[in-house]
Amino acid sequence: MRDEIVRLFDLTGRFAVVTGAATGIGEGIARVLAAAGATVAVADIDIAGAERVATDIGGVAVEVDVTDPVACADTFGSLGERLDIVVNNAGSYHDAGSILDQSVESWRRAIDVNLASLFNCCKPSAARMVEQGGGGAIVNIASVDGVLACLGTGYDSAKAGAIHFSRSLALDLAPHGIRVNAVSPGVVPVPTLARMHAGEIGHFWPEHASTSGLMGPITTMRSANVPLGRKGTPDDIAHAVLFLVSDASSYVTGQNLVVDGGWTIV
Amino acid sequence: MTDTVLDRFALAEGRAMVTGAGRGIGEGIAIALAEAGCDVVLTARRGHEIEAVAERVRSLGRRAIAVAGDITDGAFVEELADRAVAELGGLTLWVSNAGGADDRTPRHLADMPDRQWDYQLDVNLRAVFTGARAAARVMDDGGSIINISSTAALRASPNNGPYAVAKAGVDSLTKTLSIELAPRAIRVNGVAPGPVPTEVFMEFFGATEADLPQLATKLGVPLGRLGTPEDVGNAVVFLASRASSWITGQTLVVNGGSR
Repeated sequence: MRDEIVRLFDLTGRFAVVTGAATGIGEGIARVLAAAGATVAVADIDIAGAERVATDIGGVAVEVDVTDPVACADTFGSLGERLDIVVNNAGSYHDAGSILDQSVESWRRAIDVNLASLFNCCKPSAARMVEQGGGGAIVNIASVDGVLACLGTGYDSAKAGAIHFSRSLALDLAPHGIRVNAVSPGVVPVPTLARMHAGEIGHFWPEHASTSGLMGPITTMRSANVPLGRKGTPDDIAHAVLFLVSDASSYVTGQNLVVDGGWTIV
Repeated sequence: MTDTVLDRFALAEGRAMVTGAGRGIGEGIAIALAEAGCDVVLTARRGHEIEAVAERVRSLGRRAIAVAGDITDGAFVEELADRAVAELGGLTLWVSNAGGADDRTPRHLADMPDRQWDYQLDVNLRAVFTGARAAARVMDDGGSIINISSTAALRASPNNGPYAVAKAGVDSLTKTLSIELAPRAIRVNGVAPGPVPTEVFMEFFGATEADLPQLATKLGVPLGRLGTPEDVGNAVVFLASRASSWITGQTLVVNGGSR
C-alpha cells in the first residue's frame, strides 16, 4: 500500500543528465537520482571527478563546459537513447562580490556561467524532448541569492534570472508536456566553499570587501541564522529535485522551490 | 532495514489530522497520507462523508478516526487535537485544508455583506491559526504543519475577494509560524492548488461535468489539464516527509503553470 505512493518517486528506466555533478550539490543530486532508479550522466568540466561519481553510481561520465553552446548541443543532443530528465546544476560563485571591486569581465562571467549556461543546456535538451514526442522534466538549480540580495550584482542577478528563466521556459514548453522548475538552495557547505576558505582556490571576497554592504553587519547576522538550526546538505537539495523530476509533481511547473531551512523568510 | 532514497518520501508511523477531509482535495490528501503510511484523523461538518473516507483509509491498512464538527469553533479544534492524542497517541502532522463559504454568491467587495466576509475569514484563515495552535500544543518536536492555500492568494480575485484575502493571510501565517516553531523543529509549509474541479470550484465557475474537457483551455492552464486531489496529496506527502526536512515556510504552487 505504501508502495502505491512511493512508486510515484521512482525513476526506474529514466535517463537523467546532471551538470556540475563531480562534487557538492550536483554530486548529491546525481547520487539520489541514481538511487531512485535513474541512469545518470554525470556531466562536469572536471572529467576525473565526474568519472569517480559515475563509477560509484553505475552512470556515465561526460566532460562538458556549460558556457560553450556548441559543446552543450553535442552533449545534450546525443547522450543516452532517450533524454527524460535534465538538472542544470553547474554554476560558480567565483565571480561574486562587490561592484566596487568587480570588473565588467568578471560580471559577464557570472552571468555567463550561471544564466547563459541554462540556455546552452536547455535549448538542445528541449529540442530532443520534443523530438522524442514530448514529456520530460528540467530542473534548474538557482539560489536563495536569486530571492534575497547576498553576493553582489553579478551572481545575484544571474540567479534571479535563473528563476525567471525557469518560469518562462515552463510556459514555453508546457504544450509539449515538458515541466520546468527551479530549486533554490540556501547555505549548503560544499567542498568548493571549504577549498575557498582554505585558500586553495580564489576567494570571492576581495580583501577590502568589508567596505561593501555585502559583508556588512546585516548580511553577516542574516547568514549566521538558519531558523531550522542547521546548514543544508546536498541530500536536502537532491530530495527536492527528485520530487520535481518525478511523477509525484506532474502538475507542478514554473515554480521555484526554496530549500533553505527558513532562511529567506525571516 | 536499510534506508533507501524512496523510504525518505514515505510516512511510516505518521499520525495526521486532515480538516475538510470529507471530499475533494481533503479526501485526496487523506488517502495519499494513508498510502504513505499515516494513520489519519478526519474532520468535516458532514459525518457521513468523513466516515466513508475513514473506511477507505482503513481499507489501506491504516487507522482512521472520523470526528464531525465545525472547524470555526475554537473549542472543537482543541477537542480534535485531544482526540488525536487519546486515540492515536499523538500527531506528527496537521493539514489545515478546510475552507469554503456558507454563502457562495459571487459578489464584488463593494456589495459584500459583513456576514459573507466574516464567515470566509473565519473558516479560511482563523481556523488555520487555531489549528496550528492546537497542533503545536499536542505535537512532539519534529512534526509538521501544512496549510492548504490557493493560487487565488497570488493576484486579484474579482467576485472572490474574501477567499483570496484569507488565503493570502494563510501564506503569511505559514511564514511566521515556520519561524516561531523552527526551534522545535516543527516545519510549516503550504500547498497552493490551482484549478481542481471540486464541487465548490464547479459551483464558482458555474461549470458542469460536460464543461470539464474544455475548462483547462478556457482557464489557460499551460499543462492543458485541470488539477486533481491526488496532485495536491502528492505535494503534501513530500512536504510532510523526511525528504523535505530542510524546507520550511514555503508554499508550493501546484497549478499546471497557470496564472
